[in-house]
Amino acid sequence: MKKLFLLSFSLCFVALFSMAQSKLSNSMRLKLLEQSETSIQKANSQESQKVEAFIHFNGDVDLALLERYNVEVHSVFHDLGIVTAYIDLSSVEALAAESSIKEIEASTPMYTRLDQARKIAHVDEIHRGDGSLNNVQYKGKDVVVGVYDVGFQYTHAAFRDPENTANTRIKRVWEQSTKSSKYPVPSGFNYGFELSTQSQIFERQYDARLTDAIGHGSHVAGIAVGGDMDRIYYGAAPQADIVLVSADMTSNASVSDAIKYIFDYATSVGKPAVVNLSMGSHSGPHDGTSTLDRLMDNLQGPGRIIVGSVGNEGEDKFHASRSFSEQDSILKTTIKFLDLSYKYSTIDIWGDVDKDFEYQVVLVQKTNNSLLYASPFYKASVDTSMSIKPVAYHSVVADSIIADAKVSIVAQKNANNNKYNVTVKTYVTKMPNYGYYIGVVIKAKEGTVHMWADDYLSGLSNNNITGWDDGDAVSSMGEIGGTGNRIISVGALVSRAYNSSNPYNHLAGFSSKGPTPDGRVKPDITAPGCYLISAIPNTNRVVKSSTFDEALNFTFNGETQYYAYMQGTSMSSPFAAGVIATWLQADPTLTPERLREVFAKTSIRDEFTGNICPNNDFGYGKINANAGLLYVLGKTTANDIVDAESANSIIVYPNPSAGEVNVGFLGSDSNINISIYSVDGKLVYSQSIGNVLPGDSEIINLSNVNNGVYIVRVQGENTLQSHRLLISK
Amino acid sequence: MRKFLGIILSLVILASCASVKKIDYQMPLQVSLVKQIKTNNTFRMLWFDYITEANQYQSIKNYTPSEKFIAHYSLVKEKKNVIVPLLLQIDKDFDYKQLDNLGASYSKTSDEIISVRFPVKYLPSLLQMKNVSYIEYQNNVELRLY
Repeated sequence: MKKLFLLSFSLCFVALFSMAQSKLSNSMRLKLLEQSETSIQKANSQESQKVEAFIHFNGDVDLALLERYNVEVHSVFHDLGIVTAYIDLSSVEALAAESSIKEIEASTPMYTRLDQARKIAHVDEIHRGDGSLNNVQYKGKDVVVGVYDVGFQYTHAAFRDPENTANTRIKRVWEQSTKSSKYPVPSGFNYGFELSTQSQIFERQYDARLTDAIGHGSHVAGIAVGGDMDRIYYGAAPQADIVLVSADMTSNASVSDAIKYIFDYATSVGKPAVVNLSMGSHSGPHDGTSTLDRLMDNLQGPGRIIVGSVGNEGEDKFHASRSFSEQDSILKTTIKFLDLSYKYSTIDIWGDVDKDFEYQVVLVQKTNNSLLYASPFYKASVDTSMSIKPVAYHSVVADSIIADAKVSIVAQKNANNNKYNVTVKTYVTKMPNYGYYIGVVIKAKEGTVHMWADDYLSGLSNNNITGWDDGDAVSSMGEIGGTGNRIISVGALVSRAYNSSNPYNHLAGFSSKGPTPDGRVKPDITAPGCYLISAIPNTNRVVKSSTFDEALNFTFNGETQYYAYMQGTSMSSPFAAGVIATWLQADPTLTPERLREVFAKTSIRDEFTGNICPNNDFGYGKINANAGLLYVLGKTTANDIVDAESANSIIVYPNPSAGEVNVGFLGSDSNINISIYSVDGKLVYSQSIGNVLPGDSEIINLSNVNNGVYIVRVQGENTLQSHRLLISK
Repeated sequence: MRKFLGIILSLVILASCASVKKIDYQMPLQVSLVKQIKTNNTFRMLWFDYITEANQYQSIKNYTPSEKFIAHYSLVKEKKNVIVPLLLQIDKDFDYKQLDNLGASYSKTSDEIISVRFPVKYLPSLLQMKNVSYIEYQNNVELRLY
């Protein structure tokens, strides 16, 4: 009897298991297999990972069921009975066994290629010289693009001359972090060394900073100036001259040297220049008055442009601020350590001009919201350098320390802007991971105080303690790339959706926002910055890194080279820099102010950017290389500008086409029908494709039609558009 | 002639090295020195930690910045020196020899702002320089990769 029971139970289990397995997509089953292999390798590992998935229901979505399995729901599509979510891999099979579950499908990553990014920003038109450009191509020729970064492969195909790939477009390299007995120090500087000939650049091959495993600099440079026309991943300015500075990443002084080096080179060859800075920090006033910001303002002018990343903190809680009054006189928040194994934090607090405030450091216990330690209140106007040691003792066990930290504080009036600045550096030597928190309390009756945590090791949070202020991402633009008065600060656009939280054509969730404390709008513009594919160095450390996925490997000059995807405002900034380089080709005297005028008149505005621009999400809007160039050339006025693309816009590409055409949808619609007619009215193609979502595209094969002009007509519930298409085989 | 110029050049170099070697300070160093020139907070913190370390030595000649200090402030090791890269705001009467005499290198980035790579050991001398209105040090520069 027992045996029969066990046999029946086993058969049921197998049946259930099989049923559960059959409800899993192949991609999900592969992930489970990878997880089990990883567990075997790390013997008895308890690690489990979360995976993004589509969960299909038989009938209505049952959120209560998902909650029981700790599923983190992102979006719910009731009509379709589908949910997008994060689910623990260890829960997948059990959930799949539920009768209301139809299928669990692992999401697959979607990558934007540089060709898609160029299309969104209308770069291809200026490369071809379409329309009013009368076949004059704008690819950044005779413009210097400088990139200050780390992780370069100088010999990559992306940096060659497209007209003769045996030659490089890299004119100068300055490696700041190493000395060399072989190569000279650059003139005007006293550190690092310079490469100034093609043979030196090819001989060196990589920069000294390639001890990291990222190759960030190659990727950034490739987006701006990649010229590998044999493959589709070339950049916005594929004919620009290139100057690379391999950064020592120590301080903002090195940044200023790099900018001067690049501009000095451009002056020596009589060319305009744009410098890209895909880096930043959150230490400083964030109001354009830091010494570096003032210096960068000073260095820019006609034909001298600096472009920077606005920051990736658009979703991070690391800022807090309060405009104080008699009625609202306290701001109090706690530190959230981002690395529980290394509890270190720097918080920079800035008041209004000549407005004093008081500050206090505390140690708070969450359970009863009590202060276990509280320093006195200190005035920010009192010049201070001190250390304090918040300590909390166990309530029962005498002399037993629960929490212990060292807090260094400097307070003084900043000479650049007359604002009182308090910097609080905290190093925790002992503290439980939960329940005890270091806090900062600000007290004032007038003026506004802003505080920024470093966002690298710490953020600001109420840690769910009643009455404490949570951190936010307001004024999350970063120093160096996001705060100067004249620097062009660039936010990131989603040029292809990669998850439901970051839909196509929207601002990337991570893209930092303004305003600056002095009320200026930041960023200035947005450009594609999500999952762009560009060059990476072919060193083992980079190629085998798990930081990103490879997109393509190919053989060039007998060696394997690579393209891979990255995302961030690191990527959107060089894209904008490359576009600006093409505009500098048209007008070498462009200034930062003139560029803002171009952005104001020509940037794409739609239902995502809103009509009120500039704003602190998108700046003036989404960069439009073609409309901007036409405006710079005076070939159009503001009234002639291509209207903002609506959410229901269709894009047809490539155009001209050799036979295969994509019809891309920027908005959602239903009952879509695509018809293609010859100019004499003959229907050559018709297809109903049903419902579409933003980012969808339909591939149409027209290899059987004759060369000529055709009309692509797209009709849906909310769409009726026609596009001319040229077939040229 | 070449030999003569070479000898003169060598003497000049030796003289400048000798002048740097002569530098010494009355120990212990005073924290308040930092109030003589305006600085930003990060520089003040660096100064504070420098004082804590350097005052453990009887003479600045014997002081070598610790690895922890170097790592914490992203300082740069150049040959036998530990360097801090700074931005200085100066006025038109600034005498660059003040930097030359300390073995510091600099770049005249603009008329009012210079970028300096300064030997950490001689920070007290920096704080006593004439025609310097502001010293800024900002580290923690991060790549904008998401």
